[in-house]
Amino acid sequence: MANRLEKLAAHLQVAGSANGAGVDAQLTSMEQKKIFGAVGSQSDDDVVIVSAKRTAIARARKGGFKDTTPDTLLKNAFEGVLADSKLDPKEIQDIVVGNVQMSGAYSMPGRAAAVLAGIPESAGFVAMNRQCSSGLEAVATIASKIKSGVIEVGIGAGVESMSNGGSPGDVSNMPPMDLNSIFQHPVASQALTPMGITSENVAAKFGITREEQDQMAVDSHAKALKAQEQGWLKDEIIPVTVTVEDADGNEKEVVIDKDEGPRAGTTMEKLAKLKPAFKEGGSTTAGNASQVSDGAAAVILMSRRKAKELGMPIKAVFRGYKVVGVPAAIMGIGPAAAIPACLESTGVSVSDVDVYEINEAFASQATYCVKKLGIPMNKVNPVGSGISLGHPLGCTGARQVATLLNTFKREHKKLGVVSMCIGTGMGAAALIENEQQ
Amino acid sequence: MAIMPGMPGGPGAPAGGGVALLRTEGFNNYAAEFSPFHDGLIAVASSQYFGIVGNGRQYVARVGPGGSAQIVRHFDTQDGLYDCSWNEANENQLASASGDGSIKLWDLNSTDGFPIRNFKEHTQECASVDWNLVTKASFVSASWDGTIKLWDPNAPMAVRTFAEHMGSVYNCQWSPRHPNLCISCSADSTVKVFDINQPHSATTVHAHENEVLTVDWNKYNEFLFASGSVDRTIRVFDVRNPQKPISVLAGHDFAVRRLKFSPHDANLIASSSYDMSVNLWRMDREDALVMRCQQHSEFVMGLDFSLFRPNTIVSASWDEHVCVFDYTQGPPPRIPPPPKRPGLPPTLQGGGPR
Repeated sequence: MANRLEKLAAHLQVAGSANGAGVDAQLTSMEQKKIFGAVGSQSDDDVVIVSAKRTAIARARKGGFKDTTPDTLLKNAFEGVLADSKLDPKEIQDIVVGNVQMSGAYSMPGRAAAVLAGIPESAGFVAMNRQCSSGLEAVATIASKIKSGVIEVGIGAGVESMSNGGSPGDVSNMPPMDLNSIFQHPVASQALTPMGITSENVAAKFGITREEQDQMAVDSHAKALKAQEQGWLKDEIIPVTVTVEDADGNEKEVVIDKDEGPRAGTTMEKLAKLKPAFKEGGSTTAGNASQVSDGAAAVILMSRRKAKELGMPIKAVFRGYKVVGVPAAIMGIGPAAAIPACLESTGVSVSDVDVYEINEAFASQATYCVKKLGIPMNKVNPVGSGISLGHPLGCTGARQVATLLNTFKREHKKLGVVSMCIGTGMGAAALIENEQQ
Repeated sequence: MAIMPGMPGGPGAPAGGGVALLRTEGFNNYAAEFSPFHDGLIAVASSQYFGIVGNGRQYVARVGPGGSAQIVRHFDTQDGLYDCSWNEANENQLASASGDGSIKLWDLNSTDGFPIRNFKEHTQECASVDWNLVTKASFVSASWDGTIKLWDPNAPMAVRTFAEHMGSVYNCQWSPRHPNLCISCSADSTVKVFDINQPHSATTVHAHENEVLTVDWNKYNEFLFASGSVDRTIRVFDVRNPQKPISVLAGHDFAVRRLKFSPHDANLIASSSYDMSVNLWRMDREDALVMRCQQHSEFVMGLDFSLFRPNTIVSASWDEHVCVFDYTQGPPPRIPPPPKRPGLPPTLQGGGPR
């Protein structure tokens, strides 16, 4: 019923009509609920994506970016999307970059990276941190600024160099806080739960077996390897030339253009041998959790009006975004809360969506979310995700957008969701509609 | 508005120059189509509660001499009906497009209230059904699920499915001349021309700046079609050069819901709209809008030209009325709106502009 009412409401929207004021108030409110416009419709006020690209994802401390600082990765991501879209950098009005592990979310070197990439200083810059959704939050923030008319053109991006970042649970990274008050509060204290333990909590509470988790890991590697063999990922990856130091201390220049995470020969038997990483008798291992990685990704967004004016190729439309809080001790269930909220706000059902990019932070939580929402496995992460490709925290959300657009183009799909769980207990989900034929 | 010079005169229906009204109490009308076999026989697809919730009803009515109109048969369905089409090969059969995604084939000779066939493949609301005018052996359906399906009425499964539109498909119409050509329009702002024997659409026209709700072929020039949109305009295109419309007809205040080319006059178009009016246009005139008919008090969703009487139009509205009128007699008088039904939430009391 809701869908029919919204369809009729959409038929009554008449921009600039003097008669528009008379439209039934309730229908108008239904129409307004779809803030980013109805799926399948086209309006000059739509927020569209004209380019989304990423660097390869390298293994932290061992891989191709181990001697590269985050600003270099970010600069390459900016240059990649500018070259891809042929957008005049002067048009960019604001940039939001997500980052988790660098001090101050990397705001100062981040701005420098934008300037180094040829973006004039007239463009604004903000760094932000919403943990593992930072890259998606950056894209959604730019989308919201465009939708509200604050800007017309912007870049949402993400970067993480876990080679440079210290481990996620590193106590020396802890900012000052009033631990007495926090520990005494039953809800606030949960926010300090180590991520590995949240994975164990999800597995135990919802009965996700070790076998199910290992199966997701095996499938993830198989999908990523197939994608590499078929050359599918080339279109989304920006090659980056970097200098690496070998074991003998010799420096050499190399081009990193391939994800380093996917491991051939990952089998159930091999994964079964791994010991639990976080808890005795647990089920989360190094094999069924996401990899520690380095990478950057960027997405150029603008209004459809501006894209038409500049003659930009419109690749996709941003249709909705929701962040929903969940108990921090089981933060992995975040997508199971955020995806339905996002779909409801856009009038789309779970089965209407063709592709789901749900980050594999842990196989436990990703398996739970997919099962809970009843999503067919063949729609989920078609080229692998955090377990196989890697999970450079602040980059991941923007990386998923680039991957989704590439999947759209290759498989001619229409609707996609990008989602992930978020430390301290949240889930984020965005709906994106393909416009590439 | 007075009758404009250049509009053809001739025998009018209903006889006596009057207006024939049909009341569909409790049902809001979505489509009307004149029978291709019998003068004055009309099929009307309708829905309870504005097609948002509730049942559907397929009416068959006869408009007689002297402006009389009576319902001769009706079939009830469990979901609203959004469109209907007569079987071009069998005078007793007609098909309805249902909100549950099915297409139901009815026979006026049946003794029970059930469809003789039910075609269910669409996964969302079926918005349009149209019988092939040339071969008369097949029909097409279009759905909010984004697909167009080709059906053989004797086969249970669709013969072909075209999933090319990027949004809901609202309308599909066979060419009156070519046995294999079909045209469709969608929420994705495009109009597509299909040859049903080819794997993909032959042409995609970015026809409007907003959802396209209705489309029709010109009956005299095989290359011309017109489309109507939420952007309030009707645009006439030549399929050989569809980059630019050859004509843009502006005059409706809200979305154009349905339009038809006249079968009797190459340049005459009738359209109906969410602005509650029926407009007549001559596309060969610079001042194209020749008449505005405002008999209805709700959205006008259905419209058709009589094949037997050159100046006769049927309009079907959410105001629970179907109106058959001869436009050479001027715009019909306003029909008193049906009483509001107590106890219904405001949404189901009608969504029209007030």
